[in-house]
Amino acid sequence: MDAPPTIGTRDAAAFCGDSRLAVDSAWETFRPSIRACAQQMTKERDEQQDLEQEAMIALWKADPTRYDLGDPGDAEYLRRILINRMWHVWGVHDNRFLEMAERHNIALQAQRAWRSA
Amino acid sequence: MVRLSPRFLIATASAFIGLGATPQDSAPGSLIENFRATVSQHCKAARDTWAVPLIQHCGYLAHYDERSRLSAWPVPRARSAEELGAIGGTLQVLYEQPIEGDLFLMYQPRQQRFVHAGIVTAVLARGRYSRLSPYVDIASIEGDTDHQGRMGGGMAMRMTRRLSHASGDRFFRWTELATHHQQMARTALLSRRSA
Repeated sequence: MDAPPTIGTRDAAAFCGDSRLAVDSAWETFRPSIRACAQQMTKERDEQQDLEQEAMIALWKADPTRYDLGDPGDAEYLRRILINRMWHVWGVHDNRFLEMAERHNIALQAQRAWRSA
Repeated sequence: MVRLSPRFLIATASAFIGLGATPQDSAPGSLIENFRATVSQHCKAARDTWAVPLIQHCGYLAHYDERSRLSAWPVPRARSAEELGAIGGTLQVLYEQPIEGDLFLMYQPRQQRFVHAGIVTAVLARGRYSRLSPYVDIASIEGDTDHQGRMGGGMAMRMTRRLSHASGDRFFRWTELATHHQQMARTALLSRRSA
């Protein structure tokens, strides 16, 4: 017996999306600067890869679809989140972390947004 | 008047999935231009996102009553997610957890405002990154997006999306607006009587 006809299956699939797919394309944008940052932080290749992995997880959690990566301000903000995450994982002393946040005035904004939310 | 129903909204919005797939859809005088014109006469057509205008258009059509020639759609005119968020905050219908039919409002931490909106068609899963950061996976229908869920993508699509109230995201429960309006009217009536 023939299988029942499916109506419009292909078209329906063509108009379905998943916001998690945006992580891959956004990662391509950030990878060079993240890799360079990881290379500055440590000379160990395994540790560099671990740091990159942490940055990728941070990107996934931050959800790049919230940001317009064509906007330099948004792209820079997101890049700072990833780099701050790497520093945090690397075990930078709290004071140093805060100094860096003040210098860029980015992490503080994120913390304020987090608290107000 | 048509009774408010999330099912009506979802069914109507489903009919628009795929809109924007051709350049003609965005041409001057097209349906997308009309969406924008519905919510604002001063819309900067080329730049403004049409995610919220699509919701307003679907909500209006889904609750339109032919006999009275009125729509029961209770959401006031808002042309952006930010305006929708402000209205929801004033009317106290913004929630941290979604139910089917809610309008999701996606928050952008850098600009500290809502930047995107869509219709929640199903709540798929709930989870936590950590104790303080829960998330919810939803299925949605949204306008002006692409296959990766990015804003300004130019298409109406079904989307799977992860949102979190810890990130500032909220859910606009428009079905409560009818009750709210009734209560406001009742309060106004009682105060008028007592005066």
